[in-house]
Amino acid sequence: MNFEDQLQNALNIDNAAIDETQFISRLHATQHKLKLQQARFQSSMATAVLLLIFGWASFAQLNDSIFDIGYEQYYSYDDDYDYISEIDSSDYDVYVADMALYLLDEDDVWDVLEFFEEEEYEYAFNTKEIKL
Amino acid sequence: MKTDHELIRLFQKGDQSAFDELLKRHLDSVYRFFVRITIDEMDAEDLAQTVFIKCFKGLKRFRFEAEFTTYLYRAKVNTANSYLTRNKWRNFLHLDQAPEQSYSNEDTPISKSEIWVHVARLPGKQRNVVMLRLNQQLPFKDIGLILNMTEGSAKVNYHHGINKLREWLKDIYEL
Repeated sequence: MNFEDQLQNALNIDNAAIDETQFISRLHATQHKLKLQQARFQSSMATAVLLLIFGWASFAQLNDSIFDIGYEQYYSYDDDYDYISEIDSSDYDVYVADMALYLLDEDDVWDVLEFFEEEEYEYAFNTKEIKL
Repeated sequence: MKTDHELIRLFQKGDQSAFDELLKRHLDSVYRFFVRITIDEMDAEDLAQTVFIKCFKGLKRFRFEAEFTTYLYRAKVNTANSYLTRNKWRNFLHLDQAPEQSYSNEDTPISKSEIWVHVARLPGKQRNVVMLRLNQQLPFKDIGLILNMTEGSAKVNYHHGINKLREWLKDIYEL
């Protein structure tokens, strides 16, 4: 007997038989489990996707309502708005004039001039005079 | 009597009984394939079940380009390879101390488990060809078709594989 025949002889089986019905019922149970696992996985994935969509939508919604909606009617957030140039210079003139008069009442004209120096105030009346 | 392809078409349309019919038709050959490889019948049954679960999952995408038996052989070879690799590690770690199978031929001097332990040591292509040839006595032409190789390549791989097996088993059995 050559080597290959010896191997095949060693692997020879005569009395191997399987219970077909039991095998099929076992397989059906496994298939059922497999389908359940698949369904569970699909529903988990669907839930995760829905949660993601709702989460994102809620976040976007909250973002809008907190910072933007209804707030603009009270406050303006125009970044290009030039606040400095909008200060009314006439108020400042009145303030300087009041202070100057107050200091003059105190009979010290040098204090008035010192005050003008500190404020770096343009002597409007002088300018006007020069212009005239 | 419906052909394998007709049964697969029915299964793809959702007919579960068509799959059962297919299973009944091929169960014996699948089971006997694994009985020749495994130590005990329970393992063979588990492996047969693994093959049919693979079919259950895979047949929904079956493209009818090959015979179902070719597809089944590939599934059997892949499953057997996984089993042999797993067993190789078990043997290496001395975890598997199961007794020899009850349905082996008692007269032969070579033990079945010893053969598969050494077949598992062969390189991939040689292992697959030797497995199909020893287990099923398939012609090299069919083996080539199943394993996507030419008949000549199957013969060469078998020749190399058998020579290595002879070398390894010679020391044990004084062949």
